[in-house]
Order: sequence, then C-alpha cells, then structure tokens
Amino acid sequence: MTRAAGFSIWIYRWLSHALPEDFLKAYGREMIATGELTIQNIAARRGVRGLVLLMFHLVFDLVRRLPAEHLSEFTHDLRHGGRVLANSKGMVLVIALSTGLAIAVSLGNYNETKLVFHPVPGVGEPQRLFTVQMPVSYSDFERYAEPDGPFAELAAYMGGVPISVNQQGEIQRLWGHIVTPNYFEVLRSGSAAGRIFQSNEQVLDATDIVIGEGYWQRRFGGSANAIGQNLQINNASATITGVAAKEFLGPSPLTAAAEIWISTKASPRLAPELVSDFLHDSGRRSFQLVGRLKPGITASQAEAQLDAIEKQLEQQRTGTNVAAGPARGIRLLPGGQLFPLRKEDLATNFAPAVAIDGLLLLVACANAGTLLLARTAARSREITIRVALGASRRRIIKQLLTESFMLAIPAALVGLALALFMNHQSQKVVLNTFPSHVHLDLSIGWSAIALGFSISVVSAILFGIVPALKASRVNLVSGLKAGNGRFLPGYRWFSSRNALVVVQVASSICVVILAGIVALGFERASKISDFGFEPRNVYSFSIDPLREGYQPERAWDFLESLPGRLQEVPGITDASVALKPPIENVGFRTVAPRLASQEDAQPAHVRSGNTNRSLSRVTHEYVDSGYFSVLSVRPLSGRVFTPWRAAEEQTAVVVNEALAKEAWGSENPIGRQLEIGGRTCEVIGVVNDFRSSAALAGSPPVINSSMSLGRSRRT
Amino acid sequence: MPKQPSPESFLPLRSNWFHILLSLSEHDQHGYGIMQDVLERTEGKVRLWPTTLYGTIKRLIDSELIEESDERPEPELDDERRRYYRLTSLGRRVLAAESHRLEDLVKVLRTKRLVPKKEATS
Repeated sequence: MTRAAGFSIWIYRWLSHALPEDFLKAYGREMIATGELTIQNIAARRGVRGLVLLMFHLVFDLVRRLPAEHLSEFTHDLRHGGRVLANSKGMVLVIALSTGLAIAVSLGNYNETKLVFHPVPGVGEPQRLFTVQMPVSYSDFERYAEPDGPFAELAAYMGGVPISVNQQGEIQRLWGHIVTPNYFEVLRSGSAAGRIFQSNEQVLDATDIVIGEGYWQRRFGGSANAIGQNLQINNASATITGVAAKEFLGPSPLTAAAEIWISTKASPRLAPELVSDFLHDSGRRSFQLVGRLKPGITASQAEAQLDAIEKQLEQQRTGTNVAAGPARGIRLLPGGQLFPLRKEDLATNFAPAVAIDGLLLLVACANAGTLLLARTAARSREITIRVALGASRRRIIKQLLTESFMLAIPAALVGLALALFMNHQSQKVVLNTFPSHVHLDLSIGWSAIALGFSISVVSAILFGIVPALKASRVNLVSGLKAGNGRFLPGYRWFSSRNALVVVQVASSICVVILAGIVALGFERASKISDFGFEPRNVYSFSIDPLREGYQPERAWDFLESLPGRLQEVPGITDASVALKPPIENVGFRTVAPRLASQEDAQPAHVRSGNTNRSLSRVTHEYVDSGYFSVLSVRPLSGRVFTPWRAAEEQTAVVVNEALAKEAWGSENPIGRQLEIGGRTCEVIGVVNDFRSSAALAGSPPVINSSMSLGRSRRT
Repeated sequence: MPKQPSPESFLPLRSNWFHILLSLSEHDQHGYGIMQDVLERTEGKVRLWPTTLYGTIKRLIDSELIEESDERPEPELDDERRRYYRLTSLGRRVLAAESHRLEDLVKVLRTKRLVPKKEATS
C-alpha cells in the first residue's frame, strides 16, 4: 500500500466519525473496510490522480449522507423518548406547567418591553426623531432652532390642550396641540384629506385648524366635505383645512394624544393658552420639542450644544456669567418611540423584571431537574443495559437530552397559552389606562413565539443536563446486579440532587425578595402619606367656562363663587379652585424665578455652584385660598392666601420647603422677594413639600400664586 | 405478529434499493460485493459509494426487505469485518413487483416507439 493510499484511508476513517454513533456501531467497521478496499484498488490501478478523484467522491458521499443519518438517529430517539414520557404523564404535566408559567412571565415582559420601542403611529422615520426631556418656553425654542444649533429641523407643540367643541349646542371636550407650522413636516406625517400646516406657509389663517382622522370619521363620517367647514371650538369659529394621517395623534399619544391641531399663529380667541403674548413670556415653559438632528451629530453632542445654548439664555435672563457653571442636564430622548426611553436607561427600567424572569426560569428548571433526576434513578437498569450493549456516555446523554427537549415542547405550548391569556387580560388594563383611540398592538407575534420556544430549549438544556450527566455515569457491575433500580447511595452533602434543591430554594427566595422589593416600590409610590397631603376623600374635576362660551369676567366670577356653592352641596365639606389639580400632568407649568435682591443671591445654603441670581426651573401653580385646607396642608410658617378679592394677594406667593431651602437655605423666607416673569412677588408662607405632579419624582421646588393673580393676568 | 406490508406499498422502488435487491436476488452478498456487482451490471453507470450503500442497507433491513445471512464462506476466503446479506421473502416479492412495473413501463414506451427495440432488448 502506498503512502498516499494509507493517508487517504486515515482521512476516510477520521471523517467517518462524523456519522452518528448508532450507525457506526452497526455498520461503521464494514463501511470503513469497504472504503479501504476501494481506496487500495483505485490506488493500485489509477495512481494518485485516481485516488484524489476517489477521495472527492468518498468525502462527498459521506457529507451528503450525514444529515439523513443523524435525522434517522434523532427520529429513533424521539420515538423512544415518546414511549418513556408516555409512561410518566404526571411528571410531564408538572414540568410543562412549572416551566410554562416561567416562560409565560418572560413572554409577558418581552411584549411590554417591545411596546416601549413601538414607533409613534403616523410618524415617518421615527428612529431619527428626538425630543427634549423638559418643556421649554417658546423663545427658548426659537433659540434652539437657530442654524447654529444641533437640529436640522425642530418643531414645538403645547399639549394636551383641552378644547371645547360645540356640536349642535352640545359641548364636547377634545384634546389638542398648539403647534408650530412645521410640526407635521418635522414629524413626516401626511394628511388623510385636505391641507395640513406647512412651514413654508407664509400666511396661515388665524382660524385654521387640522383635525384628527378618528374625529373626522366620528363627526363627519370621513366626508371630504368636512374640509373648509367651520367648527365652533373654544367658543370661536375655526376652519378645518385638513385631516391628519390615520392613527396620528401627535408625537406623545400616550400622555398627550391630540385630535385637533391649532397653529401657534392662531388667534388667542381660538386658543386661550396664547393670551397675554404668551409666546414671548420666557418664563412659561410649556412647549415640548421634537426635531431631527443635523447629519453626523450624535445625541450626546447635541446635548452638549443645547447645554451651551441654555447657559447663554440663562446669562441673558440673569445677567450672570454661568458659562463655567455646572451642566444644565438637558437630555434628548428618542422622539419616535411610544415610550421615550433611552437605550442606556433600559437596564435600570427593566433589570428587576429580567432578573425575576431569569430566577423564575431557574426555579422551574431546578424543579424539573429534580424530577428528572428521580426519574433517571428509576431508569438506571435500562441505561446500564444500553451501556453494556456498547452505548457510549455521549450517546446516553444525547438520548436523555432529546427527552428533555421533548418536554420543552409542551412547556412552550403551555407558556404560549398562558402568555396569550395574560396578554388578553393586560390588554383590558391598558385599554382602561390609556385613551381608547390609541391603538396599542399587544398581540403575541411571531417574535414572541420564537422567543417562547427558544426559552424552552434553553430550559431543556438547563433542566436536562444535570440528570443526563448523572445518569450516564454508570457502574456496570453494581448497575446490572441491582435489579430495577439503583442502590441508593449513602447520604452525601454535595450530591447533584442537593445542588438542584439548593438552586431551587435560593432562586425562590431571590424571587420572593425581588418581587417584594418591586411590590414595596409600588406600594411606596402609591402610599397615601408619600403624596405629602391627605388625598383621602379628595375628588377633582375640571371645567373651563372660558372655552364653553363665558366671557372672561363672568368666567372668573363663576370660578370665584364655585367653592362656596359647592360647599352647600350635602356631602361636600370643603372645595377649592386651582388651575391644575395635584398629581396631574396636564397644564403643568414651570418658571425660572429670580431672587429679587443681590443679598438673596448668596444664600446660606444653595446647591453647589448656584451663585447666580436665578433659580432652577420651578413648578408654578395657581391656587385659591381654600386649596391648602382641602388638601389638609397647613403652612409651616407665614400664612396662605386670603380670598380672591384681596388685590395685595396678586403679588403674594406661597412656596414649598424645597424652594425655600434652595433659595434661602436655613434663613427665614417670609417676606423675601422673587421676580417671576417681570413681576416682583413676596413670600407670604411656606408649606411642606407635596406631590404636585405625577411626572416629577421627589419634591421639586414649587411656587403657588393666588388665583387673583391668574384673574388679573387673564382678563 | 405484525401484519407484513404489501409489496406494492414499496413501489416505485428507489433506484438504490432496486439495485441492491437485484444484486441479492441470486446469492448472498457482502457490502463490497454488492457495490462491485452494481458497478459491473450497470457498466459503471451506477456506483453505490460506501456511506450511501450502508445507509440503504440499514433502511432495507429496517423495512425487512433484506436480512443478515448466517452463512459465511470458508475462513481463508472470509474477512471477519464483513457481513453477508440476503433477500427476505418480502424483499423478493417487492423485487418481482418492481420488475413487473418496469416491464409494463417499457412495454408502454415500446408501443409509443419511444424505445428502439434493439436498445430495449440489448
């Protein structure tokens, strides 16, 4: 035999090991002998060239047959596994239910996570859209949008703005946005009918409005005749110029869905929010921004540029050089997602859920592993006989893992069924939580099904590997002598069964602790005392007489008299009027007040680096004299407002503890002065910190002005 | 005893199956012998490479068309690594059924004059 023939035989033998073990056991020796004989014959008759061609054929033949032979062995294992599992229906049921439950929980969380990345309906190129986290004033928007800023396009909108629509004498409240003319263009949102606002529209009629497709269908039955029709909104006549694209409800449909869009160029009669030269009041931070960055600019670069712009604006407002001061913390968020969550914030938001998913899966796998371990102990004689007949350890592990994979199928099916049920239930909750016209696709899609099966395969490996490894370690002599069932070994601390039980118990404890932490978090968030006021038996409702046709004077008279009239109603002990109820984000306003004198700019305790005369953004509320007593909030020092009529109350403010501490440290704030929107106000009282907005965690600084100031500014 | 499948249920027979059954129709053969027999009979047109050959033998045994034979040649002529195979009665009936099927096909082709007589008889 030549060296070439010997080398070819060596290669052929080596490659033949790729064939499945059962095949090799049955025909391997004979097949290799046939191959060797063929190689020797060809080498003798046709030399090296013939041998090369032969090796090509032999290797091709081997490779071509590999999938069929492996599939044949796998089918055999499946049939055998099916017979074994058919005899252990109880175990199959327990494993399918426990693992299926863990899979269902994971799928539920996956579906919710997927919803975060759901693009905003009706918006084009959503992945390139950004929004600025905090609202800004219109003048700040104009500065942000200048060509030296980071945005290629930037639009601003105020929302959700309540809009009263008069439908044949019946007033209906809808929600809308007051938008810059380029709003639809920046959002790449088209129209379903008519003409929507465009940035190049030089002359935009002050009464032009765009309506939502849903409202168009409801009110006008989708008729083209709606375009050009007059609509009575906020007691003024508006002209419908167009219908927004189907499903489009603005860039923030979950928190501020819009069905009517009014331009910032509209008359204040149409949008009372624009009264008193609102757009040029730099203290009114009511506009949300959405924009697209210039090519090549990253979000972090844009944030740095916006920070510099913000400092310039602050310097202009306060006259103090703040360039070297701390960053203003302007954050850009993904503007095209239903939930504007940044990738780097995902871990913080979803880590507990993922950890609970993982631990639940671990508990289920440890449980299944323990059951399988007990089962394989009972099958020890069968396994020992197979080993005695020549089955290798690898072959036994493969067979047992195949059985585990077979168990994973019912587990995945149970998981999917439970996930579908839970999904159905959570859809009901979502529909109750969010506006019904926001279409949220929570259905279990193909990706979730694929994930369910992938998790079940991973579970099968997790719960199958330990019993398979344990069962494949066979002692032939004792195993065959032992009869049906292996001799139970003496008690050992470090056995695989003990390890699985430890994993199970430890994971269960972790799940309980994690679930407890999450539950406590929820409980804490909803705990009555944590609001900072007494919410029990406090009810709120909103009315807007101005939008419903009242003249301003009459509307304010009505609001002033309302608490007294309500208190006459049996069952109502106290009532008050505020521009915005507590724990409500609609109508949320911020201002940037200045400390009125230079001495006040050097407080005993201010936040690090805040040596300028301007305070950080502050929530600004308008409340009446009864507001604090309705919420059972007593002044910590000074007093609260007296009834509206007092003219001096127009310059009085009641601040919360957080503001007093930020502005004057431990010094007495009563009598101190603040400049708000060009008006000097005096602090008459301090109240404890309470949650005025659901959007802001902790206790942000709050200034409360009297409703009498609101009246004077709005009439 | 499980009911034996009918020969017709195997038809049309796969080419590899037919050639192996045909090789075993006269006498018992080992794998290498079957390979050589098929090669010679088809004048080199059909060659059963080892993995295909033994994969097919495995399936023919599973289908009970062939079985391992106990008869072996004299030790000096034998290779202990080899196993010998023979047709079962079912295998023989399947081969006959397939032969009839092919014969009928050839008849049809001849009536249509698609197969010249000379080629068909050679």
